[in-house]
Amino acid sequence: MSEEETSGSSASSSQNSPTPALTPSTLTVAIAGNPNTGKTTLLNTLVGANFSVGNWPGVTVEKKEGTAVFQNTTFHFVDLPGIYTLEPLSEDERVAANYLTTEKPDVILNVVETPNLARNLGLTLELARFNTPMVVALNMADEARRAGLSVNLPALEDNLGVKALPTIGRTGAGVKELLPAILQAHAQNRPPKAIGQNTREERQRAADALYETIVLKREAQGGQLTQKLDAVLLHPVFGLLAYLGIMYLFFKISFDFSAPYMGWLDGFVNGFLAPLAQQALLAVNAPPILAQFMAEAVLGGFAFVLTFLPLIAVMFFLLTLLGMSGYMARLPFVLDRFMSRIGLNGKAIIPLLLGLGCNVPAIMATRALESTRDKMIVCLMIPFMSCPARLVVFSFFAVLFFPNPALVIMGLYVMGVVVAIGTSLFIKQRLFKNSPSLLVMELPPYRMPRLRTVGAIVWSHTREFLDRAGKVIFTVSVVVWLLIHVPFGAKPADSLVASAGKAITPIFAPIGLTDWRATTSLIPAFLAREVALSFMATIYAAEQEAAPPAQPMNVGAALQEQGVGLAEAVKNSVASLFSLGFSTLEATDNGNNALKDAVKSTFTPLSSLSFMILLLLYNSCLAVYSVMAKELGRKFANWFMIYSFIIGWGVAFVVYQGGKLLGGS
Amino acid sequence: MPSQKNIVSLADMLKAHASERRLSELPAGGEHTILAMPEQQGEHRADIIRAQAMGLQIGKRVHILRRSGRLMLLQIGATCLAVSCELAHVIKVQ
Repeated sequence: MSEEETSGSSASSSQNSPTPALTPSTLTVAIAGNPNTGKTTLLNTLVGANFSVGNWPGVTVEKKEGTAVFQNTTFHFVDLPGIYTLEPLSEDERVAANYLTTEKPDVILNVVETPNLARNLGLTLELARFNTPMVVALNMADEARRAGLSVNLPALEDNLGVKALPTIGRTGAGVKELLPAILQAHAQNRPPKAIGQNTREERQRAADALYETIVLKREAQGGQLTQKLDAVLLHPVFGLLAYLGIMYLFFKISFDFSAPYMGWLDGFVNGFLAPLAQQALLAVNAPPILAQFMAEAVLGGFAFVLTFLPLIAVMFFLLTLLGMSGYMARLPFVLDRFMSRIGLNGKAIIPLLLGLGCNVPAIMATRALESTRDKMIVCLMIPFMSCPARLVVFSFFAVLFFPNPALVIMGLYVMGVVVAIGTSLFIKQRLFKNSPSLLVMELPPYRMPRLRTVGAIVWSHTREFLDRAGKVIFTVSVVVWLLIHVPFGAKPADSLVASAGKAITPIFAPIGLTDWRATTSLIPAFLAREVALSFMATIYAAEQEAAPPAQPMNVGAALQEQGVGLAEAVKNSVASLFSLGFSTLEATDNGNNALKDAVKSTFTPLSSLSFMILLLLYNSCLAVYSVMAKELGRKFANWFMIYSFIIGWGVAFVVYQGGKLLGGS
Repeated sequence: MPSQKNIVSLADMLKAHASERRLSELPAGGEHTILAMPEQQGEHRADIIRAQAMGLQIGKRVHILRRSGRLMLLQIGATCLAVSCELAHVIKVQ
């Protein structure tokens, strides 16, 4: 089949989203199977999407949708969370079971992990109960072959009354052939054969018998590499040391590898793009104040976010690698002992770790936790895991005020973890007396991630981050700039925004935040943490007198200078991988920016630390509040807002006043 | 008077009963057959059903790969499972 014959589009949907109105030539295809069988990878190939995939059970917790067109038929694919059985035991499984029961898809695409066919066939027989035409994708066919497993396809098709095709999701082999098979299954409208339909035991016996019939050859099992790696990575002592080492490398590579690019981007935007934009605006006779606003507030504000893009991309890259390799799935085993001390089972570590990437999907990932108790506790811990948006602000302030910013940032991460643990213990003591659910979890084999897939996922995350930050920052910058001129003609310090800021400043004065510009920035920071910086940039820019037109820039020479700077950044980032210690993030502090100077004159090291602590702990952001309200209820989310504000303010107070008592400034 | 056949059968039963052990009591390295896995009517019933759906079923051979604290690492066919000892305690093996 040629590439031209198919085209696709994709969308993620929540549990309650309605199914779009379908034309007669549209087929709804439910993709169902055990967790970790590669369903999302197949969907990505079929519809050309970049949904996150991972080598750990529970990576998909809500259904994902995408469409592909083939032979004038639109295939509406619905990728369901992985399930072991149609008796739903956790919320993600409930999503899948409910969909299959109530939505009645035209065809079920059952994706099975061929190397683990014996176990997967149990669900296949359960799916056959729906009397819906079915196609079976024997995925990971290459791994099965390497493990010495050979499947008699005609026997499988005869016994089940379905079409079965071998596929390799990682490479896309055999995936496009699924479309004609689905089309044919729908045209024939023949339900699968019913075998072992009554009880779970009967179905399992039937699945075992079917396995014996269809598997032609079973040689010694593979998985030697997995067993060798597990001997070290799951060892009680070495496993813990390996975890600490991997976490050290995670942060070291994230910071050190990206720092030179961050420095270069900072210079590129503030030293090249912003002056160029200002020059261009002045050239078309724009008012100088507008040119300055665009260059310093809008572009400058966005630049602060853009500067941190390398750091965010590297973090997502490493998190994706950990997930796809299969290591993340092992963390519950390694850390179960520690997690049990705080009243949870090891499985809770996965959403907590995902929180380092973004709190929103991390909270959604708690759906994979079986008990409501564990889910609630972990949901309330996640917002204290520092996300990249907070890192943007931390990096800015830490570089500006501290000689070793990496140490300060690490300290903030640790503080977030400590507060999360304290929250878990508090909630457990107050609300839940019963014991955590018992851990039973599948450990997939280690797999080498495909760089192309990793790259596509990282690009998808970073684009989303830029898109969100760009829109919010631009909107906030414009709104604040307008408000700061209300009443018209007033100085910024006498504006509406200033009045609001001054009204709330007494609340924050005990934690060292006495400047209305700093306290007011906490309000839009609820939309997204990084907005605090662009907000300040807008206010400081509005307070400055319009600068006289700068000397015309020699664009060619400036570009050449930027090119040399980029080459230097590449060299330094590669060199950083060969040093053991943490380099600092000093490269980002070129000290030539108006905002940096203004912030330096407003904050002290101690008050900046207090500000960062508040941003780390208070209220999280609007998106987190929304998803928490959806998962736990609005009442609980509101309670968390108050709780986290009190905690944030309290810790900042102790640090600020304690620091002052010790002679800090 | 019991027949010779019945005595042998009873002896087998007693022998089988004597060799019946709880999975949680066994050291790493051994391979056993699952004899019983009762679905308790309690707060952990769902965990047991999940474990069964994941492959821990009566008659299956289970290889104890590793023990670590309150967890056991088990291999059942091609499936590798991390299971808490509390759950393994209800599984009887031979």
